[in-house]
Amino acid sequence: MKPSLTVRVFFTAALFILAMPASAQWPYYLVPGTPLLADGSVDLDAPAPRTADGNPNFSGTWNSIRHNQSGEQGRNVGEPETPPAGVPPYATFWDQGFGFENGLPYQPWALEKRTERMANNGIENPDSYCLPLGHMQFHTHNQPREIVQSPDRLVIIYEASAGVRQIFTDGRSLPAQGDPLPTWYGYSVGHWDGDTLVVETNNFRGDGWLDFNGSPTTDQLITIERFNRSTFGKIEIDVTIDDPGAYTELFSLRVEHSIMPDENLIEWVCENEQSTQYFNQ
Amino acid sequence: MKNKLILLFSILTALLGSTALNAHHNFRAEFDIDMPVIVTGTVMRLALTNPHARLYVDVVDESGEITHWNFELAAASSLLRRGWRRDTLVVGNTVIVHAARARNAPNVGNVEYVTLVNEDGSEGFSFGSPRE
Repeated sequence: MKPSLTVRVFFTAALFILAMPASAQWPYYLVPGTPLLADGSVDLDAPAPRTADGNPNFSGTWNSIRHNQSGEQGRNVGEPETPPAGVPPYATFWDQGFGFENGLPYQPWALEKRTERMANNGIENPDSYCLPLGHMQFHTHNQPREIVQSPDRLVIIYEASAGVRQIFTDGRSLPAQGDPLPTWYGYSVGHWDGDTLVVETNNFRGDGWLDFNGSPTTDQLITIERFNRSTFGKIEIDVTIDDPGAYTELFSLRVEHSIMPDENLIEWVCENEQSTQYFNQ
Repeated sequence: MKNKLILLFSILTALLGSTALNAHHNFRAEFDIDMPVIVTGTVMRLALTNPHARLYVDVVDESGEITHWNFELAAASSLLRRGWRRDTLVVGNTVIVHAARARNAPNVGNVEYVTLVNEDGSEGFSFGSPRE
């Protein structure tokens, strides 16, 4: 009988670890105050920590939880996972439409653009040229991200692209669409709804990709994210994509992150010029 | 114990994920998974760069002619989390590289896995995994 995927993944990964020189690890440092169980392991199910003002504290280094993935260039590892009732389809790095029965609700031009990008191997993917990833790509990328929270803002530092995103929580209003200079990361303002941080972002440049397959966005894009830290070990973010320029209706995706309690980001300087000369242009 | 296992599993899964998926740029824009290549050669340089590290290997054929290979690896930060360090492979090491060839460059490839050959000819540690 063929071993289950889980068993194969576990033992393959274990072989990797066993193959490493024991002295070769990147230095780990367990953050002081990390809740521990009696046996010394991290208590991932402990309550979410809170800041001095009583709000949940999202600070920490976070790894994207990869639910089943699919995509032109990803390895198909089965059917999309079904989220619990009331939870939107899981976001996936390769294809954000993977969990939707009929894919994303593209405008005709957007579907054509995505098809074209898949056919040409995503040759113009901004990330290939050391430009920022798209909003949902940052949320689902393999490289971790660190959230730094203060009373008046969250800063998310993405290892990939060495990206930096600011979310203002100081009570300011969201600027009108088209008012400030549009940016890759957009302009983000958050407010607390109980223990949920609700973040609205607009003023994107409109050239970020939603996924590796090239699902487009436009400068009409507005995202609404609901951040929850359900336990010490986990963050859930429900992201609503509202971009009438590229999609016929808005849709939502579930992003999940797991804590990396003893890791930090590693420097990322993009040197992709060593690759682009070989692209099939 | 259960949480320890969950944490270990999460870390291992993350490590495996970053091994199997070359997410940082368009793999198929540069490489052809249907053009595999296996070479045995000498490490000339390991560049721990992002979004992909580079391994330069010289291969000598039976006539003594040298071919300079340029192999792409995972991101340096992923390799570091996986246990690589600056002296994991050093100049002069003999390695066996399993890779996918570049589409439009003759001696460029994307590494599936690389195995260090010990001085006594036995195979040492190996990084990466065969593509599914």
